[in-house]
Amino acid sequence: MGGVKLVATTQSFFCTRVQWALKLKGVEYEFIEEDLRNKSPILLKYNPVHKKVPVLVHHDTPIVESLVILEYIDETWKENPLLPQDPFDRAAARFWAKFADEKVVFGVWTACTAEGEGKEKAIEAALESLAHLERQIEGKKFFGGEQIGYLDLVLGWIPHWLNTMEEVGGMKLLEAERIEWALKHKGITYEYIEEDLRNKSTLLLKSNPVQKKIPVLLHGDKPVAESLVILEYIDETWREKPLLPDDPFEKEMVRFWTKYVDEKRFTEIPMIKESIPMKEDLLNYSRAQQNVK
Amino acid sequence: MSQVTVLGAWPSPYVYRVIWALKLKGVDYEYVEEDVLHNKSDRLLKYNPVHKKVPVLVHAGKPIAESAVILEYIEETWPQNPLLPKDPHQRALARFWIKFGEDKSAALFGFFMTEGEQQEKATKEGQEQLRILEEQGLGEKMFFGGDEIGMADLEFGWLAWWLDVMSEIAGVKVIDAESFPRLHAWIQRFKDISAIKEPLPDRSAMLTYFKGRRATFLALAKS
Repeated sequence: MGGVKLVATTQSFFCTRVQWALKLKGVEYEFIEEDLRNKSPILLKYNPVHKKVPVLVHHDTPIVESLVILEYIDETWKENPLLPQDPFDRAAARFWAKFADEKVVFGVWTACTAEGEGKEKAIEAALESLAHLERQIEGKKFFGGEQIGYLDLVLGWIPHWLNTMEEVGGMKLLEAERIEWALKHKGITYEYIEEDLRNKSTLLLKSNPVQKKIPVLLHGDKPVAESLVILEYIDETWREKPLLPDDPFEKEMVRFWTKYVDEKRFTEIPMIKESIPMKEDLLNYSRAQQNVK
Repeated sequence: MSQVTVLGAWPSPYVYRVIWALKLKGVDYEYVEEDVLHNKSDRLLKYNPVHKKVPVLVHAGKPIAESAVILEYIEETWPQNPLLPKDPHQRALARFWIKFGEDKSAALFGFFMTEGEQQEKATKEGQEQLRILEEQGLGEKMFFGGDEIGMADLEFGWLAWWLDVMSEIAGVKVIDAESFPRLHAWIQRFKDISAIKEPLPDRSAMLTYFKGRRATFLALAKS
């Protein structure tokens, strides 16, 4: 039987990346929801070694490990190739996928679940590994170029899940967190004004009339908007302990990454969007995971 | 033919995976030794800025890091004497076991980094993983790759030469012919292949080097 089954959960982004790959290639599949607190005989039969999701079942044979599944899908269904053609570019994509899964996922998770000084360190490390990834999207619409590819699917969790993990973990790795970290790093005292984005304050609308977005830095009565512009402003106004890389190329990378996540290019793609779990679901799942740890 | 260079460190089993793959495919390469413990070269830092580790393969001036990624690159660039089967499902299985080897590294090497009661526990854990590897990864096959060696065999190649040295130094027997008959038989077959055997490092040099490493690990654990 040529039927394709996917044993998975809706909340795990390791599973979602496989769904995206199948959809991109127009492969019909049966989604079998797994309850990880009560593992089914199917899961235990198909993945006896690790007992984890996702598991792709094709011709009644299982394939496990999300990155291995992506390679299998790319080799079995040739339309809309996920990996680039050139061997060196393929190697680069695989390298960054491995890096992302080993360092970034773990780093962000630690930043989310750690406390106190450990949390500070973890956030710094996570920011550093995100910075490495930033350089990889330089000058491109997606990691895969003009079209989304393997690395976009692997990193696809970042725009959506990151927000959830940040909320659960009580930290922000992008935007406002960076600004706060920058101010603390330079020893600058500041007042934090919480904004309700569904009911924007007069202060916000006056300070950032063009975009009406946060974060906004108010220095005296001077407003500065756009997180990178704010960082540059902070660096120029308070000169000790410089923040931004000197190198203009590196600075450009930091800017580009912020744009990529901020502009939601990836998550607005309909096929991608429809497989993203509801935020409430994800929040509950992430909180449960945190308790398990 | 573009220049192929391997940045490596002679004691590292990860480096040999790359060397074996190149030799099996008859690819000429230049080998450059890196002093990774004490004095990483500018070249290494330039070619692997993210991890600063070996092995690194440099082909036509472009660097590739991470042994598993390098093996895939070698396979795609020099298709002769394939290291992966043609069938996608078999390829997926080979990649699965390679990942298994990487994920279980800590468990497999645990016996070497510990002593006393901790070592007993670590050895058992390592043996559990090796049991899974032997029964489900190797099974009744001649090699992990089937009748011929493949990428997964290279991943576990360290079992054929490094494990013995490390076991001797650590004073534990991790595997032997009675407890792991199939793995043991595979080790003999694997070591017999000339491309595998030829570059293997000198055993007494390894004893000296790894004795030092174990001392360092144990000291670190105490501090």
